[in-house]
Amino acid sequence: MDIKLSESFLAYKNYKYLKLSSLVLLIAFVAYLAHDPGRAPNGGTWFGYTLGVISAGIVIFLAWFGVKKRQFATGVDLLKGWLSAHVYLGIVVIFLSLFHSGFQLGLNLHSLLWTLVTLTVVSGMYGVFCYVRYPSVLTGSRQGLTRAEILLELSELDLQAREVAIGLGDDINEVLLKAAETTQVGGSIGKMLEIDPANCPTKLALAFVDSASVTSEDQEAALRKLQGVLTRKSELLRRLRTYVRAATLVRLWLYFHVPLSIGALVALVAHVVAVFFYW
Amino acid sequence: MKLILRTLQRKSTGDIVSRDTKVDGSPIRFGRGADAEILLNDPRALLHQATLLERDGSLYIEAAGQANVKIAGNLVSSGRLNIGEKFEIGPYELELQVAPEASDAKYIMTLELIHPLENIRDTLSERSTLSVEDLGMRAKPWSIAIGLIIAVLFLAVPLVEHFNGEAKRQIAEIDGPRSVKEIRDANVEGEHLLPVSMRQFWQAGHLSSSHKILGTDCSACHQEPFQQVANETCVNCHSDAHEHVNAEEFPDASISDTACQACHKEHEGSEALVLNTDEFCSDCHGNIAAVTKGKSDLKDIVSFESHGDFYYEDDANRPKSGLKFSHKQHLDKEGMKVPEGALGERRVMNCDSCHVADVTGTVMAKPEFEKVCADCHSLAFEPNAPDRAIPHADVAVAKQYIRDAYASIALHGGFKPREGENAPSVVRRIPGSKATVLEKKEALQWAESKADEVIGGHFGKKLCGECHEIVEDKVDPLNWTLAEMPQADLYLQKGLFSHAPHKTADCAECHSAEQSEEANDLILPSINVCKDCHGGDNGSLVPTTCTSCHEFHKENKIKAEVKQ
Repeated sequence: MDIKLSESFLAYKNYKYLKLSSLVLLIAFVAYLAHDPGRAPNGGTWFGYTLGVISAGIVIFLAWFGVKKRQFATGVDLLKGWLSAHVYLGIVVIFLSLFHSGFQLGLNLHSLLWTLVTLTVVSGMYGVFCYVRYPSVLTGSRQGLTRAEILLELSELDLQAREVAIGLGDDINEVLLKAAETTQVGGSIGKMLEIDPANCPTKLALAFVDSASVTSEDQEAALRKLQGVLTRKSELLRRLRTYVRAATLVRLWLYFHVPLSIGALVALVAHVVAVFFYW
Repeated sequence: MKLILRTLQRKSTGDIVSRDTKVDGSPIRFGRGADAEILLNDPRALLHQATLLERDGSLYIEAAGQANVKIAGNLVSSGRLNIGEKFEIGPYELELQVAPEASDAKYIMTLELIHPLENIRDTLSERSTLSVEDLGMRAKPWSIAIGLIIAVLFLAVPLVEHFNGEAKRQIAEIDGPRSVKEIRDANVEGEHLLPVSMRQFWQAGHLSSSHKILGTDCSACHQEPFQQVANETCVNCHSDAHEHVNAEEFPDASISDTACQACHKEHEGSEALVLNTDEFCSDCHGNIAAVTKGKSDLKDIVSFESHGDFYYEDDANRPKSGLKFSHKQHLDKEGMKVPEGALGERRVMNCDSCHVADVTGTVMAKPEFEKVCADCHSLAFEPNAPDRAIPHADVAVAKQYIRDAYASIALHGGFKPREGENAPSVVRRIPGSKATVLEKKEALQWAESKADEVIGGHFGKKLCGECHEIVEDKVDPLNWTLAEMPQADLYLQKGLFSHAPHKTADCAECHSAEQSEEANDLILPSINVCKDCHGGDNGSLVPTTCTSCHEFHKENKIKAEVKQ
């Protein structure tokens, strides 16, 4: 997905859904200001019920996108339209549900629902940011290489380093060996988000080699060559980690977005049952 | 020392390839360094790892520096090598064998790399996670977990709490009004599965302060699932709700078919149980003639701004005060003459000289004669008995008092007639001196005629008549009485007005008593005075709605027959 494609769902059909959502929000806002229920505005007035039904409909529509995008039958263009509506209506529903409740929030199931919907939407907004920001990072960071090619070159560099260093001191060999055997890209969510981890064994090895001193000219030449190899390896690692960080961020928000949205759906059911069970 | 180094290499097929080289040296060094006799070409080997020595016909291996060797499974710094015994130096396994006799070497040393360096690329891939999926993270279990937690905590548990509570209610057969104690106990013994009631989280808003005692006993009101709270549930406790109107005359305005909660919205905070908007009333009262099909003669009103002036509903039959009283005269700025005072003494009177609020502060207490009038208005009637005053009570009692007083004077004697007044000698005799039966009779006759004269004259009828309207008896002029005093304390009976919050205002701001000369004047304030501060819901100094002054259920004394 390049930038143009990712932008296009926001601009789908000349911002059709942005315009539609803004209109819905504006009408709801004006109606909210104009409506005087004669007491504190809340979800129990006819206006409150109306907004509640609309908001619930939107939440179900938003959730239905999760089904829609998993259906192979959905064409790319249609899906793009759905995504466009999904994004803009998600923002609308936060405010519609506030108008629905008359901005009354408290320590209860109903406010839990609003919180879950809002967190889902906020995580989704971060997702939109990621889709706009990171595709260029994903392609740019690899500079035309595939992940497999980068891994292959990294291992070749390790072999080169070993050959170059075989005549050098035991300490250098030990550090190199450790760098080859323990250098890692990712491993955990935290590490996948790090581009330049401070304790990277390859980085430590390069620093060690930089500060090493030797006696013979042959060894001096080997040392210089070793520095070159390790510098290239560090550079490649940095590039791979930049890629992994972007790839992680582009996926990670969904691990919040999806469970939160399921939580919101269940809370919506509980909300409706609670309200009408004790009508 | 000469030996044959036999380097073994194991192929992937399992075949072993060997290569022999001759090594000569004393001692023979193992290591990665260029000066080692036996080269260990592996980065894990040290430059100088170990030394092979021959001593007393045996071979010994000694590890260099901090390094060590592994003989018979033990890591040691040195040891004797036996023929056919394997030992390890770094990642290599070695074995000492006897060389064939044809060879000039004494021993064969086999050398095999048994711990090869791992394939770096594969292990890097294995160690690394390049995508979130590589971590084995899946959104589905988290989704199921959060969904289940919410479903259990906020749906299942509250439902169980409800049905537990209902079961208990049925066993206890709780129906009908409950005492405050029963309500409180039910609340304390609420059905909780968890340390807290989860049903409380179903409440969208706080209970009103009157119903707070119900706590989390939701079923106290919500008795049938998916049904609005029934009127009969409210009436269980609130059995004395009154109709707003005479339901027979205005059946459309009867509340008997209206849900209580159409007007009384619960769960909207501590003070919001009573609907308090002008629209609530003006729906009907804004067009009352049409709504009642002409039956009501009330004026249309939509807010306090359109409220008409105050008036007594049935003015033709308004009770008369029965008094002669001029506020204007009493409130004279120069003051009033004090009858018994010094020459020219005048007393300036104010509203509060007579009118003081009752203990509630809501209304003015009725002025009492003895406290506020008697100071100037003396009820003494006989100069010979200056301490005697007509009691300010029932007329018959007062008249009897006058008769008793003169009888007492006549029998006691010592009466001093005024100039030109005749009085028998018996009543003028030395006080307390004896009198005959005939004299006494004469004295009592005088007393009767004197009492009649006073009752019908200046110190009787005229004295009372100074302030009271006198009702004459055409047959018996002595049988006059006083006009009745009205019993009503409040002339505005449909509105609730309290003087208490208005006490910082001067009385004259609302009541123009200084202009009133008649006791029958009501001296009601003009509503415009109220409107200086009070207005409708919005845009006035003191927003005032209909229910600020009028009570919906108490407009009418007819008890409501509230139906389901």
